Amino acid sequence: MSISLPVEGFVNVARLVTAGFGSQLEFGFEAIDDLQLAIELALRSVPARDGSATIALSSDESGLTVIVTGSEGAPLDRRFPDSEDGLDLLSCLGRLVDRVDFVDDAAPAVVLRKNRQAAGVVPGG
Amino acid sequence: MTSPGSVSETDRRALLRAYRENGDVAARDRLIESFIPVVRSIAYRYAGRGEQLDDLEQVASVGLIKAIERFDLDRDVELMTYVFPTVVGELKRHFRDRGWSVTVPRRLKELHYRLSRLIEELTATLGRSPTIAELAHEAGVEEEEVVEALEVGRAYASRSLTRALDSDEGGGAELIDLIDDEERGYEAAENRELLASGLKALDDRERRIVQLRFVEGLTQSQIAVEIGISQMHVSRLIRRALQTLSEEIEEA
Repeated sequence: MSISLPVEGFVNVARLVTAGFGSQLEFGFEAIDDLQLAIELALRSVPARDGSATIALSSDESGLTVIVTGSEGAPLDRRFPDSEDGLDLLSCLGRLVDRVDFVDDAAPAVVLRKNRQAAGVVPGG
Repeated sequence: MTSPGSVSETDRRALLRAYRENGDVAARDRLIESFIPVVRSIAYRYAGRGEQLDDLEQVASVGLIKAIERFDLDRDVELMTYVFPTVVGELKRHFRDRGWSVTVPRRLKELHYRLSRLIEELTATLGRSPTIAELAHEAGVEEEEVVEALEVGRAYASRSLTRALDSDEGGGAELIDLIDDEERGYEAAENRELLASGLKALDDRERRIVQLRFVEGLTQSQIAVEIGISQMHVSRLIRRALQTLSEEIEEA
C-alpha cells in the first residue's frame, strides 16, 4: 500500500498506518515504535518541495519494507551531520531498522527494512 | 543513606557551604540524600495523575537539585522551606509541560495509561516486546483502539523540562568524545560543532538515552531498565531528543 501525505502536520497519520501494518504482521510494540521513529526521521530527510512525501509499505514472508520518497530534483537531506562514528542519519536509522538504503535518484528515497525475526514476531504467529 | 531526621538545618547549611566554597561534591551528595525521603513524599502526592511514580520522583529530584544550586546561604531562611516549594514547582511545571497538547478523549487517555503498565508487565512476562494483539487481548479492547491509544501518547507536549538545567554530569561530552578528532578536516570539525550544538540543547538524561540507543545500540526496554523509567517514557524521550537535535542542527 502507498500513501502520499503532507510532511508537516501529518506525521501522526504515518505512524497510525505503520502501527496498523506492523500489527497485522504481528510485530512487537517496540519494533513498531522503532519503525515509526525511522519513518519520521526519513520524512524529515527526503526533500518535500511541494510539502508532501510518499510512504509505500509492502510485506513478504521475512518482513516489512518501507520506502519514503520525496520530491524530484532535490538531494536527500541527511539532516544529522555525517561522522564516522557519531550520530549521522544512517547510523540512527540503522539502530531502528535492520537495513537502510538511500536512493539518490531523481526523486530521492529512504528504503527501510524491518525483518520479522528481529521485530519480536511470535514464532508460528 | 542518611535518614532525614539525622541531618539538622545547621548540618545541611554546613554541607551546602562545603560544596559551594570548597567544591565538595560528596557534601552535596549527602545533602541531596538527606532530602530524598522528602522528595519521595512530595512526588507521591502527585501520583495517580497518569504519570508513573518513578518518573515523578526523578522530576522531583531535579527540583531538589535546582533548589540546592540556587539557595542563598546568606538569607535567614531554612533550606527545607526553600526546597519544598521548588520541588512542588518542578512537579507542577512537569504536569503543565507534559499535559495533553491536543484534546484527547478521556477513554483513550485512560487506555494509554493502562497500556503503559501492560507493556512493562507483558515485556517482563513474555521476555519480549508484546504485540498489539496481545496488548488488546490483555486490555480487553480492539487492536485498533490500542493503536489509537498508543498514538495519543504522542500528543504529550514535547517541551523539554530540564533543557535549562546545567548539570556537570557530562553525558554530552561522552557522546561527543566518541568522535575522533584526529586526522579530520575542516568539514568534520564543522560537523562536530553542529552536533555539539545540537546535543547541548538536550538535557543530560536525553543525551544519555540518545547515546545508549544510537551509539551503544541498546533497545528501549534495556534503556528503560538502565535509566529506571518506563519503556513508554523512553520512547517519548528518544522522539523528543531527535526532534530537538534535528531542529537545532537545522537552525545552525
